[in-house]
Amino acid sequence: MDKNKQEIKPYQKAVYSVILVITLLWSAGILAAPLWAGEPGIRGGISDLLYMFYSKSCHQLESRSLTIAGHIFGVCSRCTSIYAGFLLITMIYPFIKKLNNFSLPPLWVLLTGAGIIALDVFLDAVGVYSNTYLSREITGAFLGLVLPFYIIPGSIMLINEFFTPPKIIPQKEDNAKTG
Amino acid sequence: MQKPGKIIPILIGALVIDVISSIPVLNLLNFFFCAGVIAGGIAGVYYYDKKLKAAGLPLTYKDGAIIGGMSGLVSAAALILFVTGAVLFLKILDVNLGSIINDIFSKFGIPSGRSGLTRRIVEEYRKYGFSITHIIVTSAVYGIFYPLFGLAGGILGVAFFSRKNNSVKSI
Repeated sequence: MDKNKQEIKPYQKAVYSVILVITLLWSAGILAAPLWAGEPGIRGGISDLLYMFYSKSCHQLESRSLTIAGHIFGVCSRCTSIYAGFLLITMIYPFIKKLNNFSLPPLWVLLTGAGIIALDVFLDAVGVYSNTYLSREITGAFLGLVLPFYIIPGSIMLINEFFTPPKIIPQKEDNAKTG
Repeated sequence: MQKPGKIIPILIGALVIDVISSIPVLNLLNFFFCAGVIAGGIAGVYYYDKKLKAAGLPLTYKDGAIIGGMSGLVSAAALILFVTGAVLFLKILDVNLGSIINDIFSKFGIPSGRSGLTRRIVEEYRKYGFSITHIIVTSAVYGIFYPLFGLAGGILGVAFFSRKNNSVKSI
């Protein structure tokens, strides 16, 4: 049967929905941190918590971050692009690839995404050239745009494996005993 | 045939994560999308894949998720224990962390957007030599980040290492 005509199972939709919700919340937090920063009460507290939360995965340097309402985003400009790219593709994923299609893009696509970021960081660190907001955002967005094509099918396969009973293959010893 | 145990791969993954997270300069990797944590998940899966290949068994996403997620969890627990222990040890030595943090903030300023909680943590360090708020917040953050990115590393690891055997394209 043509795989495009195969029915998409409820668990595949559920896994996709969970990834979409997590990605939306994660991205919303990046914007909520500066928007609620400095406000009195619970919003200010949540903003503080969000900055601390994202600080484990991002340097949050003011000179390398976008600002809104006078405060930096929860993460730097490169990370913002990664998450924005990831969110964009996750939102439109069912329109570009069926949820029951588990074929992964070639590995070099992912390695290229990570490689160009590493190159951008390395050349800046050794002083060959100074990276810019634009270079950081383009390199970050590229990785963010390709990651869902590995994470979404991988997660759906994962849940499928958890809830599918393993195939029972009779072993030679068993055959010898029974035979 | 029974699959090899996952404890050693989980510990290898956790060790890689904690080494990357603790060594200065190397820990900057985690400022890039928690790459150090993802690398730990991949390392654990790589080791397990070697064991599976020797036994002639296939690597599954379930294996990757368990190894990656658990590596993240174990490394987070180890890191929280280490940080808490170090803070308490410094308190025993009468090192005033509050004044050190205060000095840093007065030199560089409190980071943009942070005020209430950060001030409270600094105040707690100044008063008591340690901050329970800091420990709770840090534990919660590590407890979310490390297992989540470890899990992503585990899934990516399976995508890397099982490609040759991956005949399932759709279900």
